[in-house]
Amino acid sequence: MARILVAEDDIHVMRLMALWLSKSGHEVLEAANGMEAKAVLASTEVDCIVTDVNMPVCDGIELVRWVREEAKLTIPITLLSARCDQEDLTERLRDLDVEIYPKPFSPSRLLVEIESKLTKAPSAAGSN
Amino acid sequence: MGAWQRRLRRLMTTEEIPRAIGLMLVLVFVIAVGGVSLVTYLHQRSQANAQLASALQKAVELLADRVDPSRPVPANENQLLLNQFAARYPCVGLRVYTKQDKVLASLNQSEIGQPRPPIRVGIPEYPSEVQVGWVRPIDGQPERLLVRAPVLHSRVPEPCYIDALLAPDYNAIGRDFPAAAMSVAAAATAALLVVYRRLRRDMATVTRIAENLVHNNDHFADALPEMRIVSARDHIAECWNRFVDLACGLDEEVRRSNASSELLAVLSRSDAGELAGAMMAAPLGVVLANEQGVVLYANAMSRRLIGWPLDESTTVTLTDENMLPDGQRILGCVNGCTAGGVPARALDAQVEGIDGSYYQVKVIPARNSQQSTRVLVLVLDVSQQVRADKAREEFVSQVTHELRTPLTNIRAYTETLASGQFDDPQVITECYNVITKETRRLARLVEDILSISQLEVGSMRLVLDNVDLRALLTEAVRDVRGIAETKNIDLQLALPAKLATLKADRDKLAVVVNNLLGNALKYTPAGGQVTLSCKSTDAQVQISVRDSGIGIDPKDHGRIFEKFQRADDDAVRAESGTGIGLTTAREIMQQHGGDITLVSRKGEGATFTASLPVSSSVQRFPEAATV
Repeated sequence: MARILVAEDDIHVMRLMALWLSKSGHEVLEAANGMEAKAVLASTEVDCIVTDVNMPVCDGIELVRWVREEAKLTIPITLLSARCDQEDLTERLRDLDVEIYPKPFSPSRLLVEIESKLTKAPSAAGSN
Repeated sequence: MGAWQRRLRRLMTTEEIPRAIGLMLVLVFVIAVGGVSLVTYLHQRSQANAQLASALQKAVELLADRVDPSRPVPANENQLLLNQFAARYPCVGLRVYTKQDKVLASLNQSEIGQPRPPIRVGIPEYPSEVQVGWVRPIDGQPERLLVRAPVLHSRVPEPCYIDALLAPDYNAIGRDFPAAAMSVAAAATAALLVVYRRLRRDMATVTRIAENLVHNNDHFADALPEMRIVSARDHIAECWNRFVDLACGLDEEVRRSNASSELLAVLSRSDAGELAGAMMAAPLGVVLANEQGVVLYANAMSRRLIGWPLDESTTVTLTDENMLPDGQRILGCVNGCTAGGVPARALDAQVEGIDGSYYQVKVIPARNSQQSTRVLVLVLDVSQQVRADKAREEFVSQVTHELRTPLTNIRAYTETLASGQFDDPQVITECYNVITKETRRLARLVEDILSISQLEVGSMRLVLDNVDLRALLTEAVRDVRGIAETKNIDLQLALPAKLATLKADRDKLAVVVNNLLGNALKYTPAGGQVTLSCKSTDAQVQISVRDSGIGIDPKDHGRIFEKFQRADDDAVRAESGTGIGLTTAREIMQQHGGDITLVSRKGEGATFTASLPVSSSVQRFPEAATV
C-alpha cells in the first residue's frame, strides 16, 4: 500500500488513475496542476508521484525540478508525456531520476511499473 | 645609296603612314607649287600688259599730235619723230597711213608711199580715238600690242592714222618668276616637311595607343599603368598619359569604393546594366569586400539590413560599428568567420536579430579574375520562413499532443473495460461515456486537421443544405455543457423566438460554433460566463459567443486568425491548442459569404461574432454542391 500523488489536468486520465491505483489498494492524492501538487507535497508525505507534463499554471517539468532540487525528495516520479519530443525531454531531465512514460499508455502496465518502483523505495503510507 | 636617300625612303615608306597618304601629300604639294607659280606669272604679266598699254596709249597720242602728214613724203621730221619713239619704246612696226592705206611715214622707209600691210587685230581700221588690241601671234612670233590712233590736229589735210606695233618686254617677269617660284616651292617644301614630320610623329603615337588598346583588350583596366607612353613627348602622348593617369585613378577609386563593375565583370559578360539593376533591387543582401574588409559593393538590401548609408559613394567596412543592432549581429557573424579578412572556408549560418528577425548569412571566400582575394557575403531575411517553420513545428507538436490526449483516454478506458477488473455498473457506464466522448473529440480534431489541409490546397467545398439553426446551436451547447460544468462556467444559450432556416453546410457551421464555444470555455476561468446567442434578420444571421475570459490584446486580433498562430500571451500558452480552430472557422464563414469579427480587450472577455447572409453561399460558390 502506498500513497501516490497524481498531478493531471485531464479529468478523465485523473479518474482512470484513481480507479486503477485504488483498485490495487493505493491511496491516491489528486492535483489538477503542478502548483496544487506542490501544495500537497508541502503538507503530506507521499511515496510516489505520477504527473502529466503539460498542465496549466505549473507544468510537470517544473514540478519535477521543484521536487528534486528544492524539496530534495528522492521518491520515484513517473512523468506521463503526450509530447512528441520525448528524446529531448529525456535529455533535459537526465539528472533528475524521472521515469518518462509516453501517452497513450496501458493502465495495467503503468501500474506494474509504479509498483516495481515502490518496492525499491520505503513506503510512506506503510510506515504511517 | 646615300644617307639622305635612305632617310627619304624611310620617310616615305614608314610603316606608320600608308604609302598612299605619302604620295597624295607629294601630289598635293606639286599641284600647290605649280598652281601658285602659274597664277603669280599670269598676274604679273597681266599687270605688265596693262601698264604697257596705258603708257603706249599716251605715247602714241603724243606722237599723233606731233606727226604732220601735210609734209611732203618722205618728210625727215616725221621720220625723226618715229625713230625717237621707236628708240624709246620697243617697236617692231610704226607707220602713219591715210584712209586709203597709203603709208606716209614708217620705221621701215621702204614702206613709205606703199600700201599698208594688213594686220589682223580686233580693233577698227580707222578709229576716231585711240584703240589698243593684242595681235594674235603668227608662226611662233611673240605676242604683240597694237596701238592705233587717229591723227586729228588741224594740219592734217585728210584723215591719217598711226599704227604702233609693240613687243612687250617680259624679261623682268621672266627674271622674277624662277626666284618667286623657287621661294614658294622652298616655303611649301619646308611647310610640308614640318607638317609631315609632325603628322608622322603623331601617327606613331596614335599607332602605339591603338596597339596598346588592341593587345590589352581583355584586361584593359589592369594593363592601364603599363600603357603610359614614356618615350614620346608630343601633345597626343601627353594627352594619352593624362588619360591613363585619370583612368588609373578612376579605376582605383572604383575598386576601392564601389566595385560593381568588377563584380559585374566577374558575374556577367552579357548585359551588365541589367544585371546591376537586378542586383541592386534584389531582396537579397549582396556584399563584396576585399581582404581588408573594405566593402567594394553592397546592394540596396544589404545596406538597409546592415544599416550602412544608402549612398553608394560612402566607404564602409565589415568592421564598422555604427550599424543597426541587427546589422551588428550580422557583421559579427561575418567577422567571427573572417576576422576582417578572407575566410578559409564558406560559412552558412542563421543569425537571430532583435524583435524576432532571422537572417541567413552566407560567407563565401572568392578570388576574382586578377587572383585578388575577396569575400562575398549574402544576407537573406528569413524571419518569415523561420516563423513559419517554428509555427509548423509547434503545430505538429500540438497536434500530436491533441491527438494523443483523446487516444490516451480511449485506449486506457477500453483496457479498463476489457480487463474485467471493474464490475461496478457506474464505472462501466462512465468508461463507455468517456470512450464515446473522446472518440467524438478525436473525430473533430481530425476534421479540423483535414480542414486546415484543405485550406492549404484550396480544395474545401461546401455541401449546402437547409440548416435548422436552433437545433444546431442547441446541440453545440449540449456537446460542451460537460466541460462548462467541470470548469464551473455558466454556459447560456440565448435564442430569439424566431430563427431563419439557412442554406449552409451544416457540419462545417457546427465546426465553427464548436470552435468558438471551445475557445470561450478554454480561456474563461472557473466561475466565468459564456453565452451563445443568435440574431436573425431577413438578410443576415449573426451567431455570437461572448465570454468573460482572459480577453485578447487588440494587437493579436489579426494574428489569431492566421494558421498555427495563437495570441502572444502566457495564459494562452498554458492551454493546449493547435492554432487552427479560428483559421478554419473564418475560412468556413468566408466560404459561406460571411465573416467572423472579434470585439475584445485583454482581461475583459471576448465576443466572437460569426455572420453570414441568409442566402449567399450559392451565389459566391456556384460550383458548390447543393444537397
